[in-house]
Amino acid sequence: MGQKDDIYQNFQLRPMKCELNFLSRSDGSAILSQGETVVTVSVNGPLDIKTTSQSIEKATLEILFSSKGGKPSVADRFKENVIRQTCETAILGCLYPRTGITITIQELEDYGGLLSCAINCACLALLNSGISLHHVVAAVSCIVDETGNIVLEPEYQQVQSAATKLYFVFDSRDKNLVTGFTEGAVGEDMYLEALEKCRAASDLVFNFYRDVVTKYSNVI
Amino acid sequence: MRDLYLSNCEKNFIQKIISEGHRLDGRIYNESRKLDISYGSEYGSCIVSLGETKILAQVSCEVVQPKQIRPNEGILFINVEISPMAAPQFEANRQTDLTVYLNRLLEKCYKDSKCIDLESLCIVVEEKVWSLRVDIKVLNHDGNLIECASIATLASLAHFKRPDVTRSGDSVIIHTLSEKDPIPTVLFHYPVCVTFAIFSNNILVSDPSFIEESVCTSNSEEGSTGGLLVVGMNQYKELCVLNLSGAAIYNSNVVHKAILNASDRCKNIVEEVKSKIVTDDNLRQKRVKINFADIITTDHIQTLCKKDLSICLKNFKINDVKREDDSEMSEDNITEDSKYDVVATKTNVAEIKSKEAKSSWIEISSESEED
Repeated sequence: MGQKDDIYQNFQLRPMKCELNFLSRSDGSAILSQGETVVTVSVNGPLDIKTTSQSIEKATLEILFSSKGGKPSVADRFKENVIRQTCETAILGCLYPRTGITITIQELEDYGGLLSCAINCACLALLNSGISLHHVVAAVSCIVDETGNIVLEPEYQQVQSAATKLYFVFDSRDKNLVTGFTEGAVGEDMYLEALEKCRAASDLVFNFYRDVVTKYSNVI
Repeated sequence: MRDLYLSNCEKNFIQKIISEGHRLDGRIYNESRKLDISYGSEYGSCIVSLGETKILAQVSCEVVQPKQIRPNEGILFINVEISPMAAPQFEANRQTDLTVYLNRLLEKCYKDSKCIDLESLCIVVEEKVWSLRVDIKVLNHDGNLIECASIATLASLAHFKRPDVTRSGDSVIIHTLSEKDPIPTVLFHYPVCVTFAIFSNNILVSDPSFIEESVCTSNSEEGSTGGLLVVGMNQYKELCVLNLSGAAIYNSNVVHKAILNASDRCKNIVEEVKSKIVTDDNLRQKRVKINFADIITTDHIQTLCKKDLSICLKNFKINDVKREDDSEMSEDNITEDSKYDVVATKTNVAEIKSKEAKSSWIEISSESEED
């Protein structure tokens, strides 16, 4: 465990905890905490869906993001879109034509980096559900603080004060960028530097996936 | 909502074993599943699990204008959502009969029983009152949503604290949590709903699981015996809600019996909720960080292995169970700390093995087809 802590400190990733099959009625589900941010995801599919939304070529992906309290908002729809695009590249949808896959995401605690936690958790739930994937994805978030330093997986206070937030999602094969988006202004050099840092840090997330799946496959 | 069908053999089997005095998960008639309440980092957020049924409740508050007819009372709003996360048959963003039924029942239990001091939520008469909103989200539907949702509502309402306000002239200042200690909600009494399923010969089964519930409702639709009975009671054993369906309408004995059973159960639940809140409060005063991350345990990363599929019938002996445990431990050195205390039985293990063999065969064949 000591060695692991060192790695986390070097990259300043927040500690991750995960449990697969958190929910008994879903085909696949996971609960993931990254630092104090906690998300749970359930995956159902491939399912029979309405003929109007069926696609001959690939599975139709439906993403639902549900915030903790209050009414659904535009921000939730935005998150759904980002997650849909990310998951669509990962899922081998052509294996399940004319069916639907539903991914439901429930926020439990939000202390920064909610979106990257949601993407990672969705990926773990997809692994758990046994749906075929091209590759797994890992999301890493970072901020640029006032002094121009890049902070990976920032703490809550840092997120609140940060001017710029960057999110990157990488695939596991070639570490290519799958999704990337920013909030706030950032220079081109800074962007590239943040991209490289996050790319390196994504290894940690993939290692974490591997640990989880190793434990999991031992049991079944 | 997609239709979910119940097969005749499932139905007949459940009815048969219940009439013989057994239940699918080995409980006795009057036994409930394990109740677990865990609180999140914010005031008024909790996850309640009753067996495998899991519900997330979150209370939030805002300042609104009061209703014209009740100018000096705050507002309580309960919103129930059942997403596809609960079970695959539910559709997103659509109100089902179940949602409306749950919502109405919770409103009856918490609004109409006047357990919350709504007058204490008033800031300025006719102008500003607090509006409490309880969001109930069903995470996993494994039967008895009503009881679980009502415990979640009660636990979150009792846990919730609203920010303090000061009035200076016409303006009202709302203090943040760091400026002034927040104020807890005043509850006059703690009502809670419990559910009973009615089977033939007026057998009452408390805390029905999903399949027991569906057998009961399908029975009452066919017009014979069956149906669900919801009893809401507070810790003083006073009746707050009664919801009858099926056989309970024609038979007052069943209702009497249910109320007697419910009174103790309700009292125990309320005590459990109260003690959880006290321990949570103590921890918070010691500045321990409480977070939903605490419910993730690394001991049982995999809870799927169907040995904790809690089927436990009469032929299972404790000796058998122990022996199975040992043999499994020697086979693969995995910690046997399953999330559930129900352990596999002889017959059950045999089933799993045959399934494994089957699935591998299917995989090979399907791959060869694709190639």
